Amino acid sequence: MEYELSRIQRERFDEISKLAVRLAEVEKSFGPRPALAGANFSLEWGEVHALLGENGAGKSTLMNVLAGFYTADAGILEVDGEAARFETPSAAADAGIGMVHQHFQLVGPLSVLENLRLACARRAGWRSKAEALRAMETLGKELGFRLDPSARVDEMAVSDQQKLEIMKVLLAGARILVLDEPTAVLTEQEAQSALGLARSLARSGRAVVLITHKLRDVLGFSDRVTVMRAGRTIIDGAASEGMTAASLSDAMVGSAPVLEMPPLADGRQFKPDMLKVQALSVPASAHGVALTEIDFAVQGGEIFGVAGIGGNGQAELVEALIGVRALTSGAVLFDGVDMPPSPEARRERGLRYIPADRMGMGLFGELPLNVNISLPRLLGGGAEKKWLVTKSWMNGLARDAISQFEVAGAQVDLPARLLSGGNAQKLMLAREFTGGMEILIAHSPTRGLDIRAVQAVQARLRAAAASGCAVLLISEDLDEIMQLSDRVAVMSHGRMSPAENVAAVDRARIGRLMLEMH
Amino acid sequence: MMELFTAWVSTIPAFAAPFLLATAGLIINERAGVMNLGAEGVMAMAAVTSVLMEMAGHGTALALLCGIGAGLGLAAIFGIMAVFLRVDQVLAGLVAFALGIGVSGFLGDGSENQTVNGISPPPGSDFAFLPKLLAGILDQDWLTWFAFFAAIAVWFIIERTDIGLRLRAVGEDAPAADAAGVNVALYRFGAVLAGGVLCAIAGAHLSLVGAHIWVDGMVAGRGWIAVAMVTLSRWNALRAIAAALLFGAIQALVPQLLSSGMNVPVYFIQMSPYLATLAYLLIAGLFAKGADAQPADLGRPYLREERR
Repeated sequence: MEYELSRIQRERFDEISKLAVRLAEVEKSFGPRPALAGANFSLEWGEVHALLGENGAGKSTLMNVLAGFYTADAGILEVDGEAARFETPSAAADAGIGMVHQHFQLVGPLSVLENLRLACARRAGWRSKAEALRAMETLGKELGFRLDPSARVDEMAVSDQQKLEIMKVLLAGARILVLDEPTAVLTEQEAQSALGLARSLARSGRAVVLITHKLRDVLGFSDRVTVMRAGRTIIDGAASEGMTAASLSDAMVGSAPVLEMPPLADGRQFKPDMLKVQALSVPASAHGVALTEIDFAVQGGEIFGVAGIGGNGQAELVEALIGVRALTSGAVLFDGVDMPPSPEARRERGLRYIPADRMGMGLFGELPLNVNISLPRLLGGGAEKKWLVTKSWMNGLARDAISQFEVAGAQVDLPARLLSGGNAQKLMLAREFTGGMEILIAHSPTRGLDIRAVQAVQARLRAAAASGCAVLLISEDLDEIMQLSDRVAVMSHGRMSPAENVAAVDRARIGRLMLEMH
Repeated sequence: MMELFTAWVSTIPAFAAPFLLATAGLIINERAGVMNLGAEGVMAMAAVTSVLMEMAGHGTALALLCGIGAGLGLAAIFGIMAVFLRVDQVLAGLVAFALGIGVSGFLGDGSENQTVNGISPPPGSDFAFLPKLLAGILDQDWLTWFAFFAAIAVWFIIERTDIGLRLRAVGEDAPAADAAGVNVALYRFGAVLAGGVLCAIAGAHLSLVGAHIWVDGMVAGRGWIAVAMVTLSRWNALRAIAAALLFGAIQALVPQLLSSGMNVPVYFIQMSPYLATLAYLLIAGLFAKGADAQPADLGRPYLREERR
């Protein structure tokens, strides 16, 4: 049977079929290095569109061009079918584009409501605090969550900060949302709900871009997927349904070989109680958690995994172990002997540490690689202590580290902050994996890294264990814990569950332990 | 003794006013994330210009306006360096300081120690019906009164208004403020200018109200003390009133002690304000309470596409 679309239907159809965003042949360089070399991207109304790629593939750069944070050197940008060029984030916001960055753009010392007023008052036309409050509550109801309007932002959980970011962008009138790795900082349950939220936003007629390097996010929650590699678009908006993890990861990493996991030798010699923690208690700091009676022991040659939702005392435990936080009671024993109190002395006894915040607590961002590599060697580890430090000695160490740990894009005199996440972490490993390492504490060592960097870091952790080192792995990524550890314990509210063999536990129970132990 | 006390107390507000104006101005600067070490220079420029204009036969009001203009000019030079050219703020501040001191000395050369009418409290007391001590405190010239109202206004604007919210956001987290649509450079430059106006009035207060003359070096470190007083008042203009009264009280003691004929070494009396500053910084350091109120992005230039 033949039928005609009515005029209204046709207009609706045109409207629906109009692209929310089209980016074509976009180029952008920072200095001599091109970050985007002809990238394409198209976004439809009503969809969740995953943008996949390794660290440094250009996903964030491309979206920063869309959101007005960067201006493209060349290329086409169309929003809702009309050519556009955004010089400022504010111009992009006027066109209905909002971006939630991986590092939240919130003003920490201000309250939730103050942040919203700051970002949205003009666009939303609020004339009073009360109006802002009403708008916030209405949207909260629509999205199904509640935030305390007077809470100080830097004292809120990360997942709540993310919700605030999303509210901020929506209240400013965004209809096109870009979420930059929204699940990177969240736990399993929080990630599920954040992705669910992205989905319902898209279903309500908006368009959502999900920047990610987790294949699960793509396969489970997106309608279409675009894959980028080295500043170019490899897969341009294919339906997610037909994709497999293998096809996506091939597109992501290209033909370069993915590092194989070296199997851990079965005949490992375990040395009992290399690191022993007895009834360790630590008082709560201003915004932290108190540790209560923590007991565990890590054997030499094993990886001991500590699972748990972030902010349940992991940071405090690590700080107590490396010696920057005083204990109220309990003991930390190293091979049967009390640990010396100072961090420097502990390092000399063979303690090494990979911090969760690698730029804040690990590397010296402003200092060049050679200093970053050499400084700790001068502090601990005895043999290399010297008073005269020559540039050639530093450069030699740095060059060895760069080649041995495959730090890409590095020169000895490059400031560490210019390295991408994965390469910064490799540098961090190179710095810590020095002679005399007997205990390694790794806190979220693969957070925010791409597949290949994750695998490189994990292989290093395994190699450390295989060489007899006691490895304490603290991570919010349950997959990682289950995959790497020999034994697992769970931290919750400053307490630690008894350790269990990884073969004997099941995920569901660990998940319950993470949530239930109040 | 009671008379000495009354005389001392009644001069405190006029001694406190320059500290208060400069501190309030610097609070505006620093809450927006700009540290201005050039306050001393701005004060000197305003002090000399206002005296020179009055000596040239212009009215006091116009002289004051010209003084503000001169101070504002120097603040603008600092602002262009620190905000737009992103010169290191300490360096830009020291340049503004040296420039202000140097140019003011040059301009005022040959016009030193010449009395001008300036601004004085109204003759006779408006508050004669009150007890003598209270009347003494309230009988101040209008510029001194202005200083206290200005501090309250600065507090209100920063803490209670839309503009203040943006200003604080720029000072606490410039990238986040930028993302929220606040023009970071504009707000910072605006803060430098607004703060410059208040610092300039502080300088003009010194020469027009305090001394009625220009003497080279008459600002005498008050701009630097104001920089310290920003920390002392923990970036809060209301607390700055208390801090300014404290320093004003110490400073007001100097002429009282000198004229009382008490046998105290002159140099000791004259260094008392600086000793007070030192003592405060020591105490603040011991209790380490000042740092938590410090704007997080203080002294950090902002450029959008720079990776931080």
